[in-house]
Amino acid sequence: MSEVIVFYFFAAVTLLSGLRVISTSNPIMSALYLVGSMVGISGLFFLLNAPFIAAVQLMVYAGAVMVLFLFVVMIFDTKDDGKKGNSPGPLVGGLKALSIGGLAGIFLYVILFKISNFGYLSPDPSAPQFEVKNMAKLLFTDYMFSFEVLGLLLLVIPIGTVALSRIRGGTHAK
Amino acid sequence: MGASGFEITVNTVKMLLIFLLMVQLVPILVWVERRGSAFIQNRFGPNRVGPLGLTQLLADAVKFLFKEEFRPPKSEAFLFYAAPVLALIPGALAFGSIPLSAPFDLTWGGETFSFLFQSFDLGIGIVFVLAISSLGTYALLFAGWGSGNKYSMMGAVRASAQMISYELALGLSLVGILLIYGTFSFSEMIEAQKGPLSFMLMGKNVEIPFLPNWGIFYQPLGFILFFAATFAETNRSPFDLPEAEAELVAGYHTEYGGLKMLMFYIGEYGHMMVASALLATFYFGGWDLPFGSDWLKEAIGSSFLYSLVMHLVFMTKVLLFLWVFVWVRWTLPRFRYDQLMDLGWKTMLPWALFNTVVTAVVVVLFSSVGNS
Amino acid sequence: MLSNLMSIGLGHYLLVSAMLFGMGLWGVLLRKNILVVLMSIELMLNAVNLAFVTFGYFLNDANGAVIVLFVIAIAAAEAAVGLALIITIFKNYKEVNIRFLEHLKG
Repeated sequence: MSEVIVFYFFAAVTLLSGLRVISTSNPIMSALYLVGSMVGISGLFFLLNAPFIAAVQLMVYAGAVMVLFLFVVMIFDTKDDGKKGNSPGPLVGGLKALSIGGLAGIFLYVILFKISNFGYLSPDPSAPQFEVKNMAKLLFTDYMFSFEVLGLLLLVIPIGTVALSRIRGGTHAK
Repeated sequence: MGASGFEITVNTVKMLLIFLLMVQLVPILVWVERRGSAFIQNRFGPNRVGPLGLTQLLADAVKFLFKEEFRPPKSEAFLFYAAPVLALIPGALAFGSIPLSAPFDLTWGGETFSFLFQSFDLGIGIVFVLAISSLGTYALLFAGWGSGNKYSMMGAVRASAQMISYELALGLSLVGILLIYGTFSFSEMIEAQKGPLSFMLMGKNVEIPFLPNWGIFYQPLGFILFFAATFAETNRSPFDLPEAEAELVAGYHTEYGGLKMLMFYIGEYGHMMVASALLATFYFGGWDLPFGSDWLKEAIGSSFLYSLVMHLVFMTKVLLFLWVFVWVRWTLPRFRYDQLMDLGWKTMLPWALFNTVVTAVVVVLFSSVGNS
Repeated sequence: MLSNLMSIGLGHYLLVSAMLFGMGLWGVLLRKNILVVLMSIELMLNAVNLAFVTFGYFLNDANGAVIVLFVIAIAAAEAAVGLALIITIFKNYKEVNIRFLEHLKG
């Protein structure tokens, strides 16, 4: 019972914050609501018996990525977009909205009517699948190559970032 | 593990008590800080109200309570009021997940229940603490942006840049200790640090009877790095640039007064307490006494009393570290901002990486302690 | 699957994930502030993470969680590069409107 209440609480936090991210016209508030959404998702991860993923989500997304976002938004200090916040042109905008609606419809159809075929799914809350040792074993055996590639990516990214922010006309212009 | 009414009651009371312990330690720490700084600077400090000035705290609290409620006109109400509350949450949650003493048993109605001497145990211990304390940045950003004040803003940006930079060194300096103990859980780490110093060296079991089996002997470099990084994480001197008075008035809490200011204080001291508790747990055996804890358990008999005694041992270690925090504040001058970033990125980060690599190699070569 | 609101199953989590993904897509397609677009991408990645962990939990399989770790790492990297690009553009043109980027055409 308590689990149900907690699920609805975190789902509501996630979805309402998510809605505010795209509906508020102030980018700073967008970023703050995005943090709320991420905290909600991390709560859902806790409910799904994956505390390590939840903690990593909090640490990386909420703790580092979003602080970076907030920095940039605060440095820009842009005014509210006002009504210009959404895309121009009723035709293009309508097409985009329609495509999103279509995709949402497909999702909804699949979840409501097709997923019920997976009735045999029986989660075992005591199963150790999300324990760190299990995940680490997978990470260093099956996913070894991806892991190495990720390491390479994480080496290239900082170099690229530093290079981008230091090019002429960048932060060190003139 | 049946959830009987008795179990729920005890756990609730325990959680409340641990939260109150954190909050109630703050006035005492403020007193220690003021008297200690006076002692270091050869002054008297607050000594008028009550014996040794101890009731000064009460007078301060009353003064804080009756301060005028004020909000700058250009501020954003929600962020402005949310910031002090947010400053309190990470410290309280993190402190709740650290074991403060040995688990104890209580008998009720003929049944014996076992309780942990901590608010909750998630099993991922240190990762949870790191995750929660990384959310502490938002209190500062909320305060800085919500106040609608340039000084607050600059202080908040400085503070969060500093916290992000030092989180790297903090996390990396801990990897060594994780490698050695092979676990995230605090309780297992404390368990691994019991008894005299013993490890495998070249296939032989070396035991040094007069030294405790503490983490600091395995990770001296990690200890120094972690220790320095916690100072930066708690925004304490010599890393207190976010509130550098000479440049930024008071940093992110320029616009806060009264009880809201007090909550920022409690948050800061809460962070210090968490840092001290982590230092004690990782490197100094947690609540465990190095020698004679088995003998003590026999002598006391009751497991609840034993837990209380061990809690005193733990608090002694924590208070020693808290005193070091105060001591350092009045000893070292503040860094310049470029020096701070140099220290974080160019000194501590490489050394933490070095420590990680060396520890990994040593663990593989000697497969030393804990998970051997 | 959703008929029973009081017992949380696979469908509930997937519905949250799908709705979040839709919101992210809306933000990416319809918002003009490039920062909000980047944030919406993060929102979509989060929705996908949730779906991965949900399936991992309901299928008792750790692969979902491992992929989430990869996604989180790559999302952090992507945010860093994206923000560096935005900062460079902003420093030069004082503009965060995504329509403006059409002017970057040769």
